[in-house]
Amino acid sequence: MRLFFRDMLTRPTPTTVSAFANTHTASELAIDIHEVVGRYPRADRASIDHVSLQVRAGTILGLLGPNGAGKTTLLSMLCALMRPRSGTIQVHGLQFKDHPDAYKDLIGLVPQSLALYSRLTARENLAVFGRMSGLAGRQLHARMDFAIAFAGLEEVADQRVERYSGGLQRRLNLVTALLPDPPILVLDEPTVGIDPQSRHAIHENLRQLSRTGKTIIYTSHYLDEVEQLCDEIAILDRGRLIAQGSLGVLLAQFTGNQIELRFEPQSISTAAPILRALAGVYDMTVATPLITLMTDNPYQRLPQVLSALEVAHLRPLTLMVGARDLEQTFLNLTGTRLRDTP
Amino acid sequence: MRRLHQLRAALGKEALALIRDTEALLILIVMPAVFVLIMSLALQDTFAHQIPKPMRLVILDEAHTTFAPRLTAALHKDPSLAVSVQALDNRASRAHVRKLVHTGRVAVALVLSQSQPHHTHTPSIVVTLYTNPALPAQMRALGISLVRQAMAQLDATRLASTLQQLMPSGTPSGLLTLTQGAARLEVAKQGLNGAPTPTSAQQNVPAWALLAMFFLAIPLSVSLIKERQQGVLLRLRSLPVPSWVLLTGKILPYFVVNTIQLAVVLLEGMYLLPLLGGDALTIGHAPLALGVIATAANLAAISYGLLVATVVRTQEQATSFGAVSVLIMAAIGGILVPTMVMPPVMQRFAAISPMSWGLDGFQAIFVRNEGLTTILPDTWHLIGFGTVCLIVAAARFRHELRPQ
Ligand SMILES: Nc1ncnc2c1ncn2[C@@H]1O[C@H](COP(=O)(O)OP(=O)(O)O)[C@@H](O)[C@H]1O
Ligand SMILES: [Mg+2]
Repeated sequence: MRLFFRDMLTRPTPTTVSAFANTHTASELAIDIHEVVGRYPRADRASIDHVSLQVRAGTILGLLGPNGAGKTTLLSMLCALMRPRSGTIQVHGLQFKDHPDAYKDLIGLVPQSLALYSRLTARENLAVFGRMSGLAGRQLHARMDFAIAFAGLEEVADQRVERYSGGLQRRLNLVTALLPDPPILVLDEPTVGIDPQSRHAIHENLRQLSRTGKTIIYTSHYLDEVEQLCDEIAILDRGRLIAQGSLGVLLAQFTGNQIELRFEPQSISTAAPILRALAGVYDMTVATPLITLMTDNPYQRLPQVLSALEVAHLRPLTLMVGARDLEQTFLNLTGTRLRDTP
Repeated sequence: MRRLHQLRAALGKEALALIRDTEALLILIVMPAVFVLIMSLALQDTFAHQIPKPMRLVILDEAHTTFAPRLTAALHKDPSLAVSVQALDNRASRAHVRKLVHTGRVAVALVLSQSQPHHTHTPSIVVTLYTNPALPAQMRALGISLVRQAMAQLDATRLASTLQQLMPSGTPSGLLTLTQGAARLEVAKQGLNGAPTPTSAQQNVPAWALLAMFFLAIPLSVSLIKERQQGVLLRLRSLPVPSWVLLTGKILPYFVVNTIQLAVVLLEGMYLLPLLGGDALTIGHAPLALGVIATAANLAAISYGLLVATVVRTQEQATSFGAVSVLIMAAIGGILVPTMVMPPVMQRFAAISPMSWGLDGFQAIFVRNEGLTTILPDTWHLIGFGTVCLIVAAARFRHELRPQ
């Protein structure tokens, strides 16, 4: 296994994004996390509590969760920065304890905070981390040129990183992890606090990488970017994995049973008790001007809802049945709004 | 092969970051150069006023005359209270005096002996004055002048009483006695073992160079803390880099900086100080020994810096803990105040400061023209200290890099 990776690394691949990832079949497991527990020294509870997660090679997995859910902790254990208290993690069949160097070669980490030498230029940073990853000579320079072009940093490559805008720093932070061309890329909130253009550029980069077969794990606070970018979504809350699946499946599973109605604000107080009393409505949330009903079967209950309103001379301004968006799914699952969390 | 590339990266980034860190370079190279200049020139003229009183002086009486107690009394009566005088037991030997002076326990020693019998026309007592070779010239001058004053006072008293005796009798025999009780001061031009006396530069140049070497603990630990804070260390931990590669990357560039720093202040002492009216630094005749003690002190300083770097967590801690610990080492090690002016209790503490080992070594070479064999004990002390610091620092750093 290790020799194989080395061979791939020594092949100069300046123009293609990754020669390695294409060699995987789509069904191969890139990451297999099994019943992992993570706890910080002196912490009174586990930050990751028996989490199992499998990621097929070539997937873009969005890891969602409010602040403090344990996203960074889970990634730290995946990247062998933190030791799981129990459970196992396999990456392409390898465990860290058996093959520490080969294991680390498989994963490129893009840390949550910028991880660059601010006094050095982009090119110097890339050279440092490239060599640290074991690259050298012509191969190193080819990978550096690729990384600079990939991040669109040609113009500023010889300026010190401290002079970069936040967006440029983020882009460099990302491509630095790509230097050794690892089959798995792990990004911890890579778009926090940057301008929309840079965010867009990073997403474009990730889609490009995904097309070449890299496995990508992407944690975020932003539901919309995860919706746009990811094939699969996993939701963490208080250290537990509470859902995992494709976006469509999750939406159907968790928001498929709701009816959302919008009223004139003054009608809410009349409409709410009528709707709550209907058969088949087992829960209701009121957020003026919206009322959301949780029902056993929204399409079957819809005529009943409308006729009851008709009787009271109430008419909803808009009406939505079933899946709304990931935000709602998330809210239903965790009871927390993702963006509102501190 | 991979380790070699990693090592190159580790050295490269540290060197680049250091070259671009003007602040650190200022602290490490310019600061000691400025200090050496200021202190050497300032102490040249004004140190005498700053000598803590009293300066310790011992008297060994080999002549066994009444002159010794009278001199002791005269010195005691000195109104400036600049010396504390102790008459040594008559059984004490010159070897004992030599030890006292050379270890810096006393600043000045006087040995009283009978002059040769055939020189009957010369004073009968010879007072030989010895000073510690590392004693700043100003202190030495002060010591000499105090002894001169005391002896002149005794001379005056003796003349007065002799004249009184002469008056009534009028016999010429009294003329003989005029010279008999006289004493002559001989200031030993050389130390007890034949080395030239030291200059202000010979104390100050190695002292400030050593202080600057140890001050490197601050920029060194700040560089590691920045790597932690900037998340770079996290990225490095995610790569297959062993801790020894990163540590070596820190050691070598700072080793070079310290070496440059030392070379700068040595050259400054040798060529710039005399141009500005100071004492020129003479560096002895043992370049190999100089290289050995310099390297040992350099490595000890860097290892100490690494230890500080792995112990402190914030830049503020690095700056305050680094500065305070280094200044304490400097104060007790005879860097800020020469050991010989300290009371005996403090002098015993000096022996536990790595900087005093370094200073001892440098001064043995510069002042007493000693070679490799003399400085070996100091060298071993420094290497031992450095090794202990390095082992602890490496263990802590290795632990930090591992999965937690
Ligand atoms: N170094 C640490 N020591 C102790 N507890 C920590 C540490 N880092 C994070 N935690 C705790 O672990 C939990 C998960 O944190 P984290 O993984 O950083 O969450 P996220 O990345 O999802 O915001 C939080 O409750 C946090 O307080
Ligand atoms: Mg986080």
